[in-house]
Amino acid sequence: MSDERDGLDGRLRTALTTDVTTDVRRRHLSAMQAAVEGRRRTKRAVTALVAACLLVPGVAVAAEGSAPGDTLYPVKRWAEPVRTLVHPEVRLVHRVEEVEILVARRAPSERLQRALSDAARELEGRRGNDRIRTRIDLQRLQRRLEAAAAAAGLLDDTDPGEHNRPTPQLTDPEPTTTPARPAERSPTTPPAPTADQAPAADAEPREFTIDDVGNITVMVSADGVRLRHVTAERSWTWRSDTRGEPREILIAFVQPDRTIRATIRFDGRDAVLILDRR
Amino acid sequence: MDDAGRLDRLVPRLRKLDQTAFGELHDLLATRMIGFAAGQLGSRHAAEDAVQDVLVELTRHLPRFRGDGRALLAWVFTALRNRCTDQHRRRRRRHEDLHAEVPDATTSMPVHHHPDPDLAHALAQLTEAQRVAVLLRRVSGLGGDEVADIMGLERTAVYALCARAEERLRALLATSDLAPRSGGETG
Repeated sequence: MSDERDGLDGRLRTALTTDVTTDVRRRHLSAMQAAVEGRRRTKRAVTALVAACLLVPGVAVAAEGSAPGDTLYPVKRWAEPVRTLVHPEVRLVHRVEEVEILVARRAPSERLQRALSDAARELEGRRGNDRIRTRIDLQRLQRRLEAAAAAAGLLDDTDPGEHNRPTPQLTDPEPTTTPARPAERSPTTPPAPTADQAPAADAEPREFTIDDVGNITVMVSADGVRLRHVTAERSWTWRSDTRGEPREILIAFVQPDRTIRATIRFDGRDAVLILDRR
Repeated sequence: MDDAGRLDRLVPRLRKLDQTAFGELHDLLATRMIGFAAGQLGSRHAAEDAVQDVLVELTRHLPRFRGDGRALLAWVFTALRNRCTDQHRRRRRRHEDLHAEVPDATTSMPVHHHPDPDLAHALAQLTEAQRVAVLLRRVSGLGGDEVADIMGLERTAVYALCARAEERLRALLATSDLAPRSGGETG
């Protein structure tokens, strides 16, 4: 019996148990290595995909509250066209919200002015869009925009009844610095002060009157004061070489059929624009 | 140190997909795996391919593997047995498609080019369980407990299965040794 077993075992082993050749060993190990590498590549790709899937919406959500000048702001703008396909009012709402954000942050007025211009342009441009009108209250959005602008001193918003007025015609954030055209100046506009007329801390208010409708931009910076007045018919710029604190004030308003008197008072630190409607 | 002990030491490195550990695993098991698969499939080339497939499959399984050396041994031979069974089925189906008749057990096994065609014929005529038991015990050199793990049987059942398989093999080989060879050995 034992001999029989030995015989059968020997025959089985002789026929079936042969040393593995080097080639076969190499082939097997290469296949194992390739499988490991392939799996690692797939894992990396899946990880990258998952990370992207988590990150992109995360960044987009984080960018939602951004405003011009923020790092994530370009992401917000980049995502807008896609979101607009579903929510056509997104762009408009964003622009208004950005003005509010910038006002709350007391952002530099130039940036604020630009945001306000963008928002007003967007509001005006979407007024005829039925898809948006059915989804959002444009009047309410305009009131938000005006309130934000008034809070920042960009709008004269002392009269509560002014909410129904037309969309503010916002000034160009970078007004032209072309020389003033004296012929077009308001009769009561004071002449441009010279350098030796730089306002002292207790200087008397300088007063001038604008007797028609238009946009006024007053810019007070280290280089002096610049006032730009734009109407439908004409545009003029008043500029002084007054040296003052590097501060800038931009205002814009529309007052049909009214005379607007604006007073700029220099107190050495601030330039204050007082608007007095008559 | 027995195989399970050596595999115990190898498992942590294998789990980390260590290339050197792959080489050591191959040196430890490849000959026995190929022998088992060759006995099952009747072809050494097919056996080498089947072993390669199982080793590749093992690399996918290893990072999640939580067993010891004995469990790894059981996993490897179970996977190899399943792969051989699948190949058997595929061959049989292909043969049925070609000949449109049910073949006998031997026709699904390519015994030509086999170093011992009579043995291949004899193995092909065993039941699958008998063949697996005898190959794991006599060719792969696994113990009764290990074969029981792989086959999902009691150890005594494995011994009984082996005894019946060997008895049948001897009978078949004795008959074939008396009869003139039909296929011829070509190596």
